[in-house]
Amino acid sequence: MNDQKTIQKNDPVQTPENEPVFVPRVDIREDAEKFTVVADMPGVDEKSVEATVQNRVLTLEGWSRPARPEGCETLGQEFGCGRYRRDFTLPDAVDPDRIQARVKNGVLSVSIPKKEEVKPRKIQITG
Amino acid sequence: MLELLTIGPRSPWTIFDELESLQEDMNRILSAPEAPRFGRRLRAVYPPMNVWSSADGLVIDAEMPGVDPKDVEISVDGDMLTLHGKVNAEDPAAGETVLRRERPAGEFQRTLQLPFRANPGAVKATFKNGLLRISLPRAEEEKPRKIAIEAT
Repeated sequence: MNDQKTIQKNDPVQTPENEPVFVPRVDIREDAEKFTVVADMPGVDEKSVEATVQNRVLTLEGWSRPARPEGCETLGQEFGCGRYRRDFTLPDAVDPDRIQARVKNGVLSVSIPKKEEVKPRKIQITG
Repeated sequence: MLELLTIGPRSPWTIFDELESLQEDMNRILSAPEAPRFGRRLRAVYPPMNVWSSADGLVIDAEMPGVDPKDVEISVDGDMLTLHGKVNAEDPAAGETVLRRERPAGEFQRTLQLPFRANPGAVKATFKNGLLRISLPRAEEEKPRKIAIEAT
């Protein structure tokens, strides 16, 4: 059984084994049609981010390469670069085949549509 | 029968593997040369910054994912650098319920004192993938200069 589905995977960046791993901060929103997961991954672009669904677990992963300017000395460091990774268990009511992901300004947004049968619908009342 | 004895991925023993890998991750993070020098406590300061010094001044990177560059104002006054703007300030769309909110939101302002007076006309800023990079060259009169020693 291999129900793994890669939504986006263009040339993931190779990074060394001892890199730091960060848990990205996320917002999760829900409306009638879908769930939206928004994850902060500063420094990643569409080539260095991946969203994978396997066994109803959604994995968001990204790589941000350290960009120390040439010939500079570090004076202070408040954030690091490395790998981002966070897993989410999807509810049964969503359709994993129609998940869409986009990245902009270092933010990954994943839209997870609900299945047709769980969407709210109006029931016609006859007089 | 053998299959029943195999320890599968869902066996209770995997908890120890997970703990071990968590421990390894922690060790990696703590021993990494790139580990942040400041503690988590300062995460409340927005945006977090990395500061480098170069031959002609400073380079500052600020981590501000999701910020529209149009919403950020950078001002330099003498030796003070101020970043002002808003992040994720939009309200959720109609009919949307917020289930979880971890990302910073609202207005921010951060002021840094530079170790020199910057040349405001030569300050450059670029924004890419949620990272803002500001290069601040020293003002001309603040540049280090060699002093010739007169022989008597």
